[in-house]
Amino acid sequence: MISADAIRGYVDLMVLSLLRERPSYAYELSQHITARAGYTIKQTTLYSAVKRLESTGLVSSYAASSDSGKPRIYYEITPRGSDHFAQKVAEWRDTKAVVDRFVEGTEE
Amino acid sequence: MNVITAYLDGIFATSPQTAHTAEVKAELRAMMEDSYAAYVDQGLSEHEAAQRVIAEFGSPDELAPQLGTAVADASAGHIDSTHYSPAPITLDAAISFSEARRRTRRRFASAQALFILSPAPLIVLATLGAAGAIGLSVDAGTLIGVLVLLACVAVAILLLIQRQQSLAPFAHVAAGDFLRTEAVDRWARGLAADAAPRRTAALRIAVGLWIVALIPVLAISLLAPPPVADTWIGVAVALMLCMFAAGVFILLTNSTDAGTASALTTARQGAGTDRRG
Repeated sequence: MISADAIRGYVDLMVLSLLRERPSYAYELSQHITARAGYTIKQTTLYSAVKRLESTGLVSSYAASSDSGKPRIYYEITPRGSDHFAQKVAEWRDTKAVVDRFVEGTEE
Repeated sequence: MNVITAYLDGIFATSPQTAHTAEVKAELRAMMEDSYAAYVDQGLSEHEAAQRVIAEFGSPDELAPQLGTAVADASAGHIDSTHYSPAPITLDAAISFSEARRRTRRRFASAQALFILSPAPLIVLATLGAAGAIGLSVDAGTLIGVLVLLACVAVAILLLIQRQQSLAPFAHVAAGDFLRTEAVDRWARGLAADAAPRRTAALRIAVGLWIVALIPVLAISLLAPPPVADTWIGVAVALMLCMFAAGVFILLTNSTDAGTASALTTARQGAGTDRRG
């Protein structure tokens, strides 16, 4: 079980990762995060993450209709967003490797 | 969806009414609408779906960067908690409080009804015994009546203690020792509105029973000849107590949500204006 606090720092990474696959809208993103991470992300957390990414130019938005025909704001990753994602993935691997060195041998 | 719309309206009530605010609100509303529809498709009732969506909304504080600082003040209840001794109540806590009160409502109502009913056997046995209508002396009848009365009171007190223990985690809520929040206020108002028709119906039935309860006593004392009246007046009084207790039971079991809403909304002034330290 991962606490919501622990995962909060990685919401941006998750959103960018999902948007690399295809453009999506906020509710769909939250559903994918819930399905893959196994925890329900609060709407305001996801919304503020998406908007933060948009304001820093890592994603862009456009209006379109969802599969059910409703008007939704879609987000797509920008080239800068892809670069940022690659950097963040590298950073995460380094972080994980460092932390792993400290937790090695503690598995039950 | 009305509950969700009202919830969002409340969140944005004090934000500047700009085109940007409207955009933010529309997008959040779309998210909530999709989520609501998905929960209803999964088989949840409309009420449950709306509750779930609101519980998953999160903190309005997180919207502050999108809306400017105005929203931080608008989201009353999420104010710097170091200024206040009581903690703001969360929606989850309010829902748990409501459910605990619902679970224990019969115990509470039964205890009150038992208190009212407790003297009935004593009155019946003493009057029938005195009139020689049953094979019991007045003393024996009184003794049995008192024992039953004490047993009823003991059971009623046990029921109340059990209920108090079940509600112990929410003692601070019941005592009003929390800060109200917009989200919980809205939820409580919805709860009160949903509960109102039921409570009104229960109140009508209870008042009807309380009025009808007087009929046996009045009929016996006014219409029956004195010997008959002396014998049966105790039974009539016991009947009156039964109807009185039934009225109380019906009213109390149907007033739970109204009581919960009242506890959640009248405890303290809204968090935004309460600046006690």
